[in-house]
Order: sequence, then C-alpha cells, then structure tokens
Amino acid sequence: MRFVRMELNNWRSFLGLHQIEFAGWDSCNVTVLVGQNGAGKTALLNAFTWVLFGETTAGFRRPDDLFNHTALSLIKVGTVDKMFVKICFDHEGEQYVVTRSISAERAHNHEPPTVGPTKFSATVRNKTGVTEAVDQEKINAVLPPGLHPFFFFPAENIGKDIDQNDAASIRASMSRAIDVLLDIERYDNALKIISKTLTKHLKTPKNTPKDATIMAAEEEMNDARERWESTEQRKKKLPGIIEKAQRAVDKLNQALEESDAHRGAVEEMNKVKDEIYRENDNIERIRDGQVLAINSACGIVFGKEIFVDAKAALDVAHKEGKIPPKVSSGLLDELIDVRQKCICGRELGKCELGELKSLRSITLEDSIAEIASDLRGRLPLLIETDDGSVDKSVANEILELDKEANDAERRLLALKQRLKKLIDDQPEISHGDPGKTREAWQQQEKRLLRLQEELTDISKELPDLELAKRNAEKKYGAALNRQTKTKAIGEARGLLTSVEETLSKIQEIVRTCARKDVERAMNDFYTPLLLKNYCVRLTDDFRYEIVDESTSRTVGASSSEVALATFAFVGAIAALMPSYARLERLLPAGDGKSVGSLRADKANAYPVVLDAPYSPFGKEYGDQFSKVLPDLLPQSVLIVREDQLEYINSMIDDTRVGSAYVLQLQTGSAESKELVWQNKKYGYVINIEGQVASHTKITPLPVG
Amino acid sequence: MSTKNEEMALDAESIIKLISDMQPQAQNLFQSVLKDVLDRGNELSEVTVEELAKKYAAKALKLVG
Repeated sequence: MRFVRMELNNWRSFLGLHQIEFAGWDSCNVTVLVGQNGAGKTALLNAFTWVLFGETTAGFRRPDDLFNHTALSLIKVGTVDKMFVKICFDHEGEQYVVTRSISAERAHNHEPPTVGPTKFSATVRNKTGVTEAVDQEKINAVLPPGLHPFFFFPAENIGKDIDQNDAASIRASMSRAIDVLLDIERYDNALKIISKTLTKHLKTPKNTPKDATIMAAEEEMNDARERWESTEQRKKKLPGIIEKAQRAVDKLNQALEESDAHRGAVEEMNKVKDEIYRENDNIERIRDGQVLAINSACGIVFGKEIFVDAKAALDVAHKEGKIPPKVSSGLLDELIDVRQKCICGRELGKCELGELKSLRSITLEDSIAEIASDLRGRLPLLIETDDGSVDKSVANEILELDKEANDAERRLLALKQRLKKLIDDQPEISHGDPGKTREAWQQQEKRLLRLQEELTDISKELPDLELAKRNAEKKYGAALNRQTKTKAIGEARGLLTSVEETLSKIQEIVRTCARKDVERAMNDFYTPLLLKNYCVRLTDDFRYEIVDESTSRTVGASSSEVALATFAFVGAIAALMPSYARLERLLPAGDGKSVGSLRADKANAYPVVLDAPYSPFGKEYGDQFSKVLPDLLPQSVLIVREDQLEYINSMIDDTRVGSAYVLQLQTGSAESKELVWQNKKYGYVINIEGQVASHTKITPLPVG
Repeated sequence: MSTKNEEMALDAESIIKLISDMQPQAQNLFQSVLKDVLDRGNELSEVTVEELAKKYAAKALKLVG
C-alpha cells in the first residue's frame, strides 16, 4: 500500500483547497510536514483517519467541528460550500480514491449555515483499467479500522504515557492490535456460534432408549402383530370350519333320525337352536336400538346446532327436488351403462348420452335420497327439544333397552346350557352302530358349539388385539425415532466438535506463530534503532520486555528505549500486515492452498504516518531514528514541529525526503516566525495564544 | 530501504493440513461459519449469534442425515 496524494478542502484550519503529494517511491520515501503548535498538525493526522474510516484520534479536540469556520462564514445566502478530504492510494496494483465530505448551505442572512451529513464515496481502478465504486467495507478490508491508531500514530504522547508508567495500556493496545492483525475475533465469533449450537440447539437428548429397550419394544411389537394376525386368520377361517361342522352334524342327525328316541331330542334341540338364533337376533336388535337412543341423546346434548344445520341443508335439497329424487339414479345408471334404447325405441346418441351423464352427476343415489328424506322427517323432533337436555323418555328407553339386553343374554346363556345338556343326555341308539354314531354326533355338536363360542370370543377379542398391536407399533416407532434422532444429533455434534477443535487449534497456531513473527519483526526494527545490544522479547500474552542480548536478562530501559520499542511494534504491524491480510482473506474461502508459505516482505509493508515522532527521544536516539527510518519502512509521513527539524536534516542530506510542506498560519492575529529549510529562511506565522483561530495554508518546500 | 524476504513462523501449510484433515462435511461447516462471520463483520449481536447457531444446528443435521 502506498499513499499517493491527499486533498483537503476547508478541513479544520485549512481554508480552501490544499494538496499534498506523498513521497514513497524508490529510496526517496519520506514525506515531511512541518508546523508549529496550532498550525494543524494533529488535524492533518486526523484527515487520514477521518477520510479512511470516518474516525478521529483519541486526543483530537472538537471532533464534530470539522468544517473550517472562515469558509462557513463566507457562505452566501442560497449558496452551498463543501468541506472534504480526498486521499488517493495504490494497493496491490489497484488505485483507490476515497472521499469524505460535508456540505453546508446558508438559507438566511441572519442565520448560520446548515451543515449537512457526512458523505462517503470511494472508487477503485483495477489492473485492467476499469473503475468501480466501492463501499467502506472494501476500505476496511485493505486497512482494518482497528489498526489505525498504529498506522496513524500520535507519537507525542508516548513519552508521557511511559513517564506515567502507563506501559500496561500500551501493552493492552498492542495485544488488541495483534488480535485485529490476526483477525482473532473472527475465530472467537465462529467458536461462539459453534459453542451455542452445541450447548443450546444440538443438546444430546436425555433418556435416549438403549439398544436393549429398542429390541424389547420390537419384540413386543412382533408378538402383538403375531397375536393379532393369527386371531384375524382364525376369524376368517372359522365360518368355513363352522359350516363344515354344521354339515357333519346334519349328516349325523340324518343317520340318527331313524331312531325315534333320538328324533324327539333332535327336534327339541333344533327348537332350542332356533331360539338361540332368535335370541341372538333379538340381542343385536336391542343393542342397535340402544346405540340409536344413545346417539339421539348425544345429539340433543351436544349437537343441536348440527341438526339445525343439517335440516337447513336437507330443506334446500328437498326444495331442489333431490329428496326424494325427481329422476331415479338407478334408471339413469342403467340407461348409461347398457346404452338402452329410450322409450320411443330410438338409440341414444352421443349428445343425449352426455346429457344423461350430466344429469346423473347431479342426481343423488336413490338410497341416499331415501335416508335423507327420512332424516329430514326426524330432525325436527330432535331440534324441538326445548331445553337441550336429554329427554327422560330417551334416558328411560336406554335403561330399559339395557335391561332387556341383559335379560336376553341371560336367556341365551340358559338356552345354550339347555342345548349342551340335551346333547349330553342323548339316549343310546338301538340300531346299526348306535353307540358310535351317537358319540360322533355328540362330539360334532359339542365341537360346533365350541367353534361358535370361539367365533364370538374372537370377534370380541380382535379389536383389543388390534389396539394392542397399534400401541406396540407406536411405542417401537417412537423409541426407534428417538434413537435415530439421538444418533443423528451425536454425528452432527461430532462434526461441529471437530470444527470447534480445528478453529481452536488454528487460533492457537496463529497466536503462537504471530508471537514469534511479531517478535522478530519488532527486532528487525528495534535493533537498528538502538545503539545498545538490546532486543525485544514478547511473552505469551504479547507483553514485551527489553532484554540485553548478551545476558538474555530483562533490562531497565530508558523512556526513549521503551518508546523505540513501541515504534518497532508499529513497524512490525506495518510489515506483517500484507502477509497476514492475505492469509486471513483466503482461508475462509477455502483457498488456503494458494497462500503457501508466508514471507515478511518489508518492501510491501504498509505506510505509517507519525505525528511528532521525535517528541519521546533525546537527541541521540532522534538522530538514529532519522538515520534508519527510511530503510525500515517503504513509505513514511512525518508530521513535525519546526524545532524538530534538526532531526530531518540528515534525511534531507541523504536525499531520503521526497516531499516536504510547511503549514503556514495566515491571519494577522499571529506572530511572524522564520523557518530555516536547507539553509534558506521561509517566513511563516504562529497563532498568538488566546486569539481567534487563524487558518492554515500548506506550502510546498523544495527537496533534493 | 531493506527488501529482505524472510520466511515467517506462521505457516499456512500447517493450517491447511488441519482443515484438510477434517471430514468433508466438517470442512463445509468450517468454511461456511467463517464466511458467515466474515460477511457479518466481527461485531456480532446476540441475536445474530443465536440465528447462526440455529442455522448450524440444522445444517449439521442435514449433512449427517
């Protein structure tokens, strides 16, 4: 990254348009900006942070008062003026132009101008010459906002902080800078998301059924199925078996009828059997009546409105002639199905057949129409029950029917017992092989009775077996589902846990390696700056210590030496930024392979803007700093006071300064001063304390 | 000005190996979660964390299902 040019228009004390061209190519890579206190040096440093990030440095006074006051006062009624900062820089072969501006407009003569909102615009011209607009995110990706305190470094306060033993806050800000440099927060956030997923949304379910439980449920289900299936099969087979048994009994009866003694008994038995059949029918009829009565009672209690709706619907159907049907559905079906000829004997054509089908589609089935008609007749009785309670007669009817059914069942039982006794008490038959025939007949009759009882029992048992089967299936399905779900959750947790572990390991690698890289990069800067055999050692928590290389022991460094270590850190960040940014951009996209080995490439290190860099040093280190700085960073911008110019002279002599400017105050309420630059005097003014703020002009100074 | 190129301690290869050692489904989740964080910026609200946590629970279940 290289700064190319900056334009300031009505920015703070800089009235009108000013332009700074930055040095930064080949060895002539230092830009010097000279100005006295109050001339706008800090405003110039903040012009960088404001245009790039919309932010100002911590010590910048009146950060909301950015529009030059004189420019504001000169705005005429109905006109607009603009304050802006524009910076042009190159990065990875692309040319960026970033502008941030504020407009002001005066509506009335007696009122101050209205200052508008801050506007941001940026463009990038890529390697193929295409220019496109970009947003703040793109700028942040080039230069992370979290690092701007280091790239735009207000050095004036370093010494003060160190004198106040505020090294802890410096260390803390260094640690934060490393986190930003490595984008550690991204890993933290990814870990936070994964952790929440595991602890809240993918918890291992409690009471997960074990394999044994699943197997037991499966066994239970299979048993229930088997019981139901075998009973169902038996129920299907029994009528056939009963029929065969009945035929066998009939055949034996025929043989036994020859015996008079037996005939009487058979006749009586047949009577009893007839009675049994009748009683069965009777019981069925009574129970049906009970169901109807109960339904009727329920309808009165719970469904009066339904009856009303039903009656209304049936009334409509009646009105339309659907109940009873005006046309017989049966007749229509017959006409359509067999294509009968009509009454006049003519065969039905396609058109007539279509009409018949259309008529059939709106004609109710005769039986349905009949039921509907009957229902329509009975519904008013149900609806007219005034209080909605069950009529006493209906309740009595239910009770009476129940009593009647119980009596009938008792009678049935008695009949069956009587039949059994008749079979048992059969006298011996006197001709043929009477004993054998009678025994066979008795057995067949008993068998028939057993089979009929079995059918009755099975019919009663079957619904319970089916219910038991369904419950067992449900239980097994639920247990299996729970186990399958638990298994899936376990596997999903396994995937996320491996992501969590990898993220943690990467974070650890990045931190450990970064500690080594930052330490080495700091020493690359620190060793040439120091006049002693000291080096910097970074602890695991990124606390730095100054160590005597010959003894490897921590030394009590001077404030200048500690300040230089801070500069070394700034340089290290600038040097490592391109490589780390490359790694961080490529890894999440899964394009890590193109990263390969990372190299600390000082030639591509980021530029650094230093405000009052000589303030923390004595003369010895000031000279040394000037001597080595152009070699340490590919581009640096130094904003210095006039009394610090002595340190710049060596850089000027070595032709390392490629660009220089003086910040000149431009009002009468100022004191005239002279600036000596390359043995020539340049007049300028400084603001008199307590006077109204002046405005500043940026004037280029000759270099080379 | 020095233009010395030095091999850095931070080795992309070791990180790439860690990633490639994961199962393909885990790699999918890894890249997706880092991209989501990158797209949303580092200042994630609790609501966003919750929303992404739900997303990754569903995504992980879908990957194993």
